[in-house]
Amino acid sequence: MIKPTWARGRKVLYLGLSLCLAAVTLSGCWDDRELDELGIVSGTAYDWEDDQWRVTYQIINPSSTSSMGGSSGGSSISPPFLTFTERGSTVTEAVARSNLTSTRQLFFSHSRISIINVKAVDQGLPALLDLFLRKPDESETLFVFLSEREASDVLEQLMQVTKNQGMGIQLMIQQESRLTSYYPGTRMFELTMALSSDSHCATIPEIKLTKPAVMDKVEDTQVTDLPSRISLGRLGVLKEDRFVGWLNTKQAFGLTFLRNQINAASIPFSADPKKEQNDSTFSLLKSKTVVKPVWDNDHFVMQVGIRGEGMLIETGGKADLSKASELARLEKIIEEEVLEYVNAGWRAVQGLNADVTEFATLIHSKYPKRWKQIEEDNSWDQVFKEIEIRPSVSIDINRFGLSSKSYKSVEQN
Amino acid sequence: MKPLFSFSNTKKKPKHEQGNTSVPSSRALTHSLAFNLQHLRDTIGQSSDVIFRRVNEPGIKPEVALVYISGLVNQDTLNQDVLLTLTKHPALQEPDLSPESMLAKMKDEVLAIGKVSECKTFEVLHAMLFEGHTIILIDGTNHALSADTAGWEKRSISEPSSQGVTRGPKESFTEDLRTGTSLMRRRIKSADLRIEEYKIGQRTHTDIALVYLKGIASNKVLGEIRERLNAINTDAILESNYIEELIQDGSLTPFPTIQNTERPDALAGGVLEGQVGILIDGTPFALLAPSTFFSFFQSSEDYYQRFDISSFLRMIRFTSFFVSMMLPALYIAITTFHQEMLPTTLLVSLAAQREGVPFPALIEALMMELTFDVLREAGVRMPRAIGPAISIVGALVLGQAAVQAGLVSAAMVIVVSFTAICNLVIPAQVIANSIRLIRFLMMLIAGFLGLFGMMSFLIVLLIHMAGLRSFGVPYLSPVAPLTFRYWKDIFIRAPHSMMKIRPQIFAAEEARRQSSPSSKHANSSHHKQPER
Amino acid sequence: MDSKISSWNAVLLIFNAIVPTAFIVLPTIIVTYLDQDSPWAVLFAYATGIGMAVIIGLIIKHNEGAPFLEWVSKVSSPVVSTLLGLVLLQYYLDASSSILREFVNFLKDNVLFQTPILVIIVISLLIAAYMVHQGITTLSQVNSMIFMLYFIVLPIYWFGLKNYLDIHRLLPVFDHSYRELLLGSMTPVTWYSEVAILLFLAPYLKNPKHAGRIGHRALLIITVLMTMNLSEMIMIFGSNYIKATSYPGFISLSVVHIGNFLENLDILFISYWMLSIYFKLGIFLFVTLECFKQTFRVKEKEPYLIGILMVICAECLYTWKDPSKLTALNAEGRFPIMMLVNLILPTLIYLYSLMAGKIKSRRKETPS
Repeated sequence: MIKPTWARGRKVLYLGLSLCLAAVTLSGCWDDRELDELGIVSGTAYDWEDDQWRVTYQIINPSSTSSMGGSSGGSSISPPFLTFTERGSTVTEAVARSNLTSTRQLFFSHSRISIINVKAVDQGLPALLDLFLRKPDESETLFVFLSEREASDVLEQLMQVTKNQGMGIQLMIQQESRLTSYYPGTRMFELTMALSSDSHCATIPEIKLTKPAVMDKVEDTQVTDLPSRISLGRLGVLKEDRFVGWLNTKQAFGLTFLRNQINAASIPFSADPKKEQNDSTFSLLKSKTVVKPVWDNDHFVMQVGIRGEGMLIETGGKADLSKASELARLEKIIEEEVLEYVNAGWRAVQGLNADVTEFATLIHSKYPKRWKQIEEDNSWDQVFKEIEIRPSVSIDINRFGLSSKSYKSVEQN
Repeated sequence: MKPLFSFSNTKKKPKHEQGNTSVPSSRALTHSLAFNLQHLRDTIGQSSDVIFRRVNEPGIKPEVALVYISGLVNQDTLNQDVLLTLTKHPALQEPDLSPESMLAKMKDEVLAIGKVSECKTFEVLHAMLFEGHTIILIDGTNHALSADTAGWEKRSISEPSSQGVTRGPKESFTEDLRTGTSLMRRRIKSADLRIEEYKIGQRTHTDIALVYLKGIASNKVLGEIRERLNAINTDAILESNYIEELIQDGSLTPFPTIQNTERPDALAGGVLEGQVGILIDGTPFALLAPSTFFSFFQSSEDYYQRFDISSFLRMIRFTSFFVSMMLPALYIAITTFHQEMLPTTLLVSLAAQREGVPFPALIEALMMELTFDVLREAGVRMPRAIGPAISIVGALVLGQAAVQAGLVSAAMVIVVSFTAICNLVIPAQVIANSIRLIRFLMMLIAGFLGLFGMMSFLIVLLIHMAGLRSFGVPYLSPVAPLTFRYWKDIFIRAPHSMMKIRPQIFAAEEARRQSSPSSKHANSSHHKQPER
Repeated sequence: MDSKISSWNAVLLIFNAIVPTAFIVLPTIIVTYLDQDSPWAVLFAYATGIGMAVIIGLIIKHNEGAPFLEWVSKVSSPVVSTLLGLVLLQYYLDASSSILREFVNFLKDNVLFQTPILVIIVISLLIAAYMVHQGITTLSQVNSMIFMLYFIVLPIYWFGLKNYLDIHRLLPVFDHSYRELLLGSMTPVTWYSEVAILLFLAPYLKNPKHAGRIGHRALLIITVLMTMNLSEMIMIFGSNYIKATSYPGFISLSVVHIGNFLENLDILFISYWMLSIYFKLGIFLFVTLECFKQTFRVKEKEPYLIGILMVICAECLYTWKDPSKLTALNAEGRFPIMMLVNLILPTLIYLYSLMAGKIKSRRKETPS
């Protein structure tokens, strides 16, 4: 094999190039951060105070949270997380300030929750959302909450069992939405999407403490019944970057039906029509809502069809479930109960005039021309106010547990 | 024995006809016994193991002398069949025998030995001598007889020490080439099995045998191998790796392109696939060429076990390969560049372990990997008696104590030991060793550029491997170039009944190796039909 | 063994010559014009793409897989071919460096924030050069191997996003005028016109006769994938959100999560994407080199490779320093240049060669 003359030169060149490269790479590692230099943020809280952001970071304290923290075994009583509060005219300034007091560089990718004070929402939600979209290390999947009191208070509260509070709250909202379905949790990207959709409205669950006291000492958690706990509350409604009002759990539940976001729920009702007092519970296991917009002369009518099925888990009255007529009667009662939720939810939403039902998207896709008109006139608020809903509910009790008769009817025999 | 050898297509002359041409003096024997003996003494020197014995029987006219090397000849054969017959055989008792006729008589009647040949030059004489032959010199003739009395101490066939199996044949090659060829003959009883012999090495004159199946092995590959063997110009071949390095495809690469095995069944399996086996005298490790990357992951045991478990094991091997190559690098990349990838709880516990560890993750990993390699080397070299000491020092002192002292994090110890164990899963040591080196490069790059660096390095590796050739066979076939129908024996091992076709990866052509079920039993040896 | 590119490898080569940058650049541009109708733009571009593939296929069939510029100089004149070669060379140098710049920008934005640009550029170029050095056949084979990973990556992607899909975001269909549809499909058409690199790959194909089919199949796979991904992105985020982000494809990746333990998987997808863009870079570098070789009629290409690398490196460092310039080029500037280079010039030469061939045959006929 006769190699061209430059072949030998090429080898030298390659060698030179790789040496250069090695030298360059060896001289600097630009982007690496060692684990023990990181402050792993598990949650953030945003407050607005004196025309400034007040940002609180919750940083996981690894040696205390981890079960096998180093050599000491984590037996010392150090809190599972620490919080830092900083002020700044922008959020990033507050982050930068944190380096003045913290030994660790803040690391946001594992942040699970973000709590925003209601006042802060009105002041600077767009800036906050922009930050989340722009910064590559922010996690878009974290859950957002609203708080009426200082958001930092909630973040400082210790939790029992699940020591990592941010993760605990995430578990709470996921469980709530999976098992109770009063309202679903809102992830950061869902919030941005909802606010940028045709309706420009979004809902965010509230997070609060049950009592004014904040349990922020490790000793405080050494009791079985924590005096003040973290709790999910109402559902906050946002319209065009502003907070417009709250929905209580009943209204929120109705809204969840309207938005077809029910996973499983329990519906208490009164089996005895004469009594007001609820004495039975229906566990809804499956539910599907179909909403169809129809133009009816001068306003839109939304035909809401809800189909659900589930199981009767608690009966107080004298129900004999082996009879078909009895079952039908109970189904009717439950249907009316659901209808009431839906109507309550709808009334509240219409009262706030915030289209969190996302009817706008539906109407846009069904009546594109009319939608164009609405957009041009900027009259969606008006149109929304005139929307009428016609809900129809069909509930199917397909299981009733191990006993076919209520215990009360057995007792009386 | 003669018909065994096939010298067709070789440029090199068969070994017994001509000595090594590179030694300059090729002197012919003379008629004078005294001169011949003196010349032999001069060339061989005063070596104590070379025995010169004159058979000075009074009745015999021409003087006869024997030369042999003690230790290379079988003493019994020498005594019984050479010495005794030479002195007692009636044919030699006739008076006034001319030296020529005596020589002829000895060759044809007297010597009770299978292989007796005449030699005319000192070169051949030397060669014969070192083969363990006994040289019979007769005064008055310029020919000498060489009688095959070879018989030296050999190790008997034992279990393979480095490639053991739980099920399957337990024989392994020995250092003796003849044993090796006989083991191959016993496994493939076909007239197509060819064994071609070479002598390589100007000083060692090592015997090398090519083993292949005519018609199945590709002629192109065979030609290439012969050419490269003939081009070897060295003075010593002591082990198969000499040959391996001298004939492998030129490019600089960390990947082996020739397999080695000490298992005759593995060699037979390769030969049946169309590979060429190379047996080398003096080492139990035979070579198989050409080889692809995937050949190194096939263990002969795969074919002795049920296909489902074999497939599972094979996939574990591939996974282990990647783990062994990339795990420490991945650990470095993720914990120093891409912490967001880890589940939060894992991140927190890793962070807790790293509290107080003085070195960056990269240095920590390099240190631990080097420590392991040192331990491993110590384990190989150490005398048996102090083995337990090494394990205690390695496991307790370096592992547990280092973690407790806070020098390294526990996770790093887990990563390094798992990497090491994964490396041992790979059946072929050669490829496992090559990734030991790649691993360090990978770690360095991961430490400087994170996953970006790792991906870049992987691309370079892949391109490099796809560009490699083993005797003209693409190293990554049948994945690149892609031939899906050959995948039955790559990542999985399909049932034998499904592997009806011999892939054309090594073989000369794609052919059926199982005919249709009806003629299954009639099928004798290599009943080949072109597919379709 | 086989030193030529098999047809399927060629299909996947074209696929990876188009998709990696298309995946990050196209969605934002198309959605800006077309909102929820965006998938239609891709389909429309596909229809146009078939036409282009057919023309390219015809040219290659006509010149029987000869090196493109040599063929040009044969049918017209060496001057024309050199001029055309210079134009093409300029184009491919630009293309290679802008691909590199997109890659570097992306890495700087998402993964390596502090690493100097020069380091990334040099490493990427060296790797691309190594690929080219190993030959286009090896490159195409490894490219196909990498493509097979799609069968692992895509299911994870689709499975991880299934909870967020809302079909209503894709409705109503055909909400936009034809003018908007045309504007929106301009950019995908531009990308699809890169099928033209087949002209330079033709001498290396096993079956140059099938070039048209190869181009067509590649475009089909691209279209299927792009349509699905685009629809999926719109179904998850709605069009308004996509307009606001610079890398919508990767935002959707960062949302992928399986349970609570597999989150933030974007780096996995980014790694995979990195693998494929290396191939795009490699292919374009190869074509650039090939173009250079044919224009200046040189035999060896390796010594010139280093020069070309340096030119690309410099161009990447200085010409495309400003990301807005690159975005503007992607949105508007590309279309005329690429149409000219990839479609119009080859077509003109093809027509000319047909006419010349006819005149020649007529001339031959008349004397006899």
